[in-house]
Amino acid sequence: MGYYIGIDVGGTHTDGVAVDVSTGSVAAKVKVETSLDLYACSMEALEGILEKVPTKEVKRVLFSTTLVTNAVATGTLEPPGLILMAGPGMNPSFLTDTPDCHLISGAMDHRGREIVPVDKSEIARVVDNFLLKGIAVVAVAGKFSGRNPSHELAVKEIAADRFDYLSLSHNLSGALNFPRRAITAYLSAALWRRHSNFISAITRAVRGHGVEAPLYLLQADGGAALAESRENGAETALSGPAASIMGADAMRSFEGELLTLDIGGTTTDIAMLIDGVPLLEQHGATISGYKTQIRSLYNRSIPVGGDSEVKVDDGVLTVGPKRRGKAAALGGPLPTPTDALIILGRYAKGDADRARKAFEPIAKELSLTIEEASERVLSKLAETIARETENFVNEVNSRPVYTIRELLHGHKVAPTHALLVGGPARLFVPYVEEALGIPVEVPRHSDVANAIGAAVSRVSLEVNATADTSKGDLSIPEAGVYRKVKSNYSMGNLEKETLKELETLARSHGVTMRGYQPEVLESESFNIIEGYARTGSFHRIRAQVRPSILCKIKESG
Amino acid sequence: MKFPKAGVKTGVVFFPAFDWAISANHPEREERLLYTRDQIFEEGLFDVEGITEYPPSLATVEDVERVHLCLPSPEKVVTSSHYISAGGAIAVGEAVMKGEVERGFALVRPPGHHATRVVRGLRGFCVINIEAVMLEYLRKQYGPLRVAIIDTDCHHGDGTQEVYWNDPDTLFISLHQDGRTLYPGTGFPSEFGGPGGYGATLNIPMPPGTGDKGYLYVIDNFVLPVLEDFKPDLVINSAGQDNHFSDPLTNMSLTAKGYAELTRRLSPHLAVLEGGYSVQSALPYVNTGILLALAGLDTSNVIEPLYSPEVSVQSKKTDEFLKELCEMMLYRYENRENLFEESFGDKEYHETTKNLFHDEAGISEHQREKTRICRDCPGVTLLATSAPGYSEDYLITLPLRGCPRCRREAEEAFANASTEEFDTILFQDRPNDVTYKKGGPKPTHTRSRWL
Repeated sequence: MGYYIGIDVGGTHTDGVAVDVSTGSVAAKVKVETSLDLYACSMEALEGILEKVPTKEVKRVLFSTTLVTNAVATGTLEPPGLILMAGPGMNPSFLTDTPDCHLISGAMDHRGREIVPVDKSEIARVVDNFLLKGIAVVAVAGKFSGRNPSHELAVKEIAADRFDYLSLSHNLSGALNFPRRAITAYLSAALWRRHSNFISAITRAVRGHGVEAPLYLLQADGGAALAESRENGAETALSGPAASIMGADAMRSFEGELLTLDIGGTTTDIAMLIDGVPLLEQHGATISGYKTQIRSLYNRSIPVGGDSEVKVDDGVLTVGPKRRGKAAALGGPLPTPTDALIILGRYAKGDADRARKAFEPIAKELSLTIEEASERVLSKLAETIARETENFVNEVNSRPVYTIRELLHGHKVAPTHALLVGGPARLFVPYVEEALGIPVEVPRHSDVANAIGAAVSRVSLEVNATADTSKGDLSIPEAGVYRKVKSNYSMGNLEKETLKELETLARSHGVTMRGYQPEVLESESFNIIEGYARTGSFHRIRAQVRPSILCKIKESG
Repeated sequence: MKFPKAGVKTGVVFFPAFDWAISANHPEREERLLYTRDQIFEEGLFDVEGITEYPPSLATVEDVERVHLCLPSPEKVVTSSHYISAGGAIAVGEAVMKGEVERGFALVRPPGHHATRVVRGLRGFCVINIEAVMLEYLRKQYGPLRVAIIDTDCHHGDGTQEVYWNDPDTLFISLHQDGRTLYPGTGFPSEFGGPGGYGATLNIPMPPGTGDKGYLYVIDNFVLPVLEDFKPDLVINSAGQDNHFSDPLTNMSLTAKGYAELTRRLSPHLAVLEGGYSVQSALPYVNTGILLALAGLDTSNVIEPLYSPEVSVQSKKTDEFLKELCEMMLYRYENRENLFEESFGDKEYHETTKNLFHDEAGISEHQREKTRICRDCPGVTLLATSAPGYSEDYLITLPLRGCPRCRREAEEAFANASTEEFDTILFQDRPNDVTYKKGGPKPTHTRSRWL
């Protein structure tokens, strides 16, 4: 019994849905225009939903917003102080080009052994300098800090409680990639205040409406995060494509390997679900050119959609990559695929005569009738999507692997079905089906797929555990676990401990244990040999609670 | 806070073969590139714009048999790991030939530079010669190529030298620790190439303790001038990393920065990992340095924790020795045509015999080789090999530029070779890119414990 509410703030529309938990049906659906005030339109959508479902019955409310994505894109960040400990390797100058960055002494090697100690008086000087400048948020990152966080912790000891927010990179990800970890820590600090204020505002408003259910925000990996934790706001970037993929998962009837295509006005997003499991980016999300270590669903956005510019140059027809405005039939300046749909009578909207007029020069240059030219444009759009889809699948299949077993016997994906979501998706079906050569499905609520994805997405988590029995160290940075282990600590021990820590972490993030499915993504074990003798073992595990959905939408298309 | 952009587009195949070892405590074991993986991933090197990671391709039996006679058969001696490691080299080679990148780095294992034409098992940690398998593949795909292979592994690249001994289109230069002090005990200035490729094999044996200064001196004063003269289409670096001062198997004094500088000066199109067994103290830093140098990025911060200025200091005697050696070798290179006349004169055939030991396979073999001294092509080579207790076999190689006369001789030799006398007879018809085989393994042969 009860309802899951999902609110998705998109570029043009803000959608809200309430999913009836007992029936898996969409009990309420709201669409409002997105305004500059993201808080206002989120509330407008929420209020629209709350008019249709009883507040006491609301089990959870989840927001997927472009707040963070927009802030990064427009550069409206709060300038943080940045403290880096880079150690030997690549010249770190590409990370130190922010106004308040200090490269301080302190270096760790690949096994987390100290090469250069930190200088506490130097840290104190940097902290004082930040305070003098009025800096209120600080990010700290050290190379190999996941293997040994003691240098970052030394900074914390001196800086804690003196700033509004202190972001330590080893808390953000235990995966290797120092620059991405530093960039993520930087964004996390730079976004903290905005993110935190937004959470305060929506929490107040939601509680004001009498809803006592927990509040969540959608993350880039399609997982939900408890709003009250106010952790790493950067993780809520790019939640739009993630919401769409999770929505597709909730509504799909196909099993196995399927493509999800979210066809919008300006862009089409391509992603894949394998037996309901979305593919993840290998290293992390890229947000407005910042390469981060934020877990993110693997998604390719291509610049073609219903409002793409259609033109003919030297007899060659192109659709996209630019969007110049709405369809001509709706008052836009240039012909678009949407106009083609209107001309062919597939879409009853706008002024068909204006669409025909806009298509006249296109038809003339191609020596076709207006109807033929319209067909050609829609095929061209579908072919572009199909070509990019093929590239996408090839990219998935050429991901690097590092063992002979995986290289020789690794699975190659081959999608057998496609799921189309997004406002105009239904209208493009015959063209996309022909270009892709596989069956295409459009679920009933495809127009609010993102809000549905937001409504039903579960909490997701990842931990990276490393045990070095030669040094006697165990680390699980995401769980804050750093302790000594004995020389006989085995892979089995590590797996057990990692899964236990993951469960504890999951509970603290509000994960319900019903349907809780942790899984080991990667594990590896090596002998550590020094001189000619084995001195211990190196075990590593990457485990996750994968992004998944709380329930399926049961209504068929 | 954006990743830097590579000055030179560089492709990398990283294939650490985490599930393959010669044996548990062998230097060539699973975690050899583990710490390198940790370092290059933590550095975020594959995120640098202009550095592209490629998956390895799989070399085929045909690719291997273009170079090798595998005994008793390719299936018996060549494992998946070798097809992948050679395939890794091929993948970066193709990326460069197609112009997708300007340079490539095959960060792969197992290595290959001790593998000679006849493969009977492991030899110096190698089974097939991954550079040669790559290069002959590239020549098949992209036509004739004039190529220089600069082998900077600490051990003499005797396998590569042997494969290209008679090839005037492949310049082979090896810089290595003096063979009197290190495996495989060859690589002296007198080893100068066969009649078809005389002066295209050049060896620089260096004294133990040679440091950055000595290596860079030889690059500047010998290798670069020879390359200037040879004008290769492609420069390949067999980038062994066992010259590092911390390597447990050798006695040289190169540093990570020295490696980076050597790579920058050499500017190879392709670097292929060979040896290097200081897996924790050297490889993570050396590989980072090589990759940054290939990509045209700053290497000044690549400093291994064990570094101090003293580690790379070499003796005055070494300075002088290398100066004289480079002068002597340049003289020999420049006068190779006169030296050819002295060595081969107007003989019709050049005949040699040698003994070869496949160390880890534990197989000794005796080879008799006959090369036609031909004015029109590098000359057909006939190689009879006998490994007591194993097999007697015959390899006929008609080189890529083989002339009609040599072709006739090769074809006759193949027709006349009897399976009574030899177990396996392989004819490499390189101009037509086909191999013909007669006979095959006898089922009674016992194989080494490694295979």
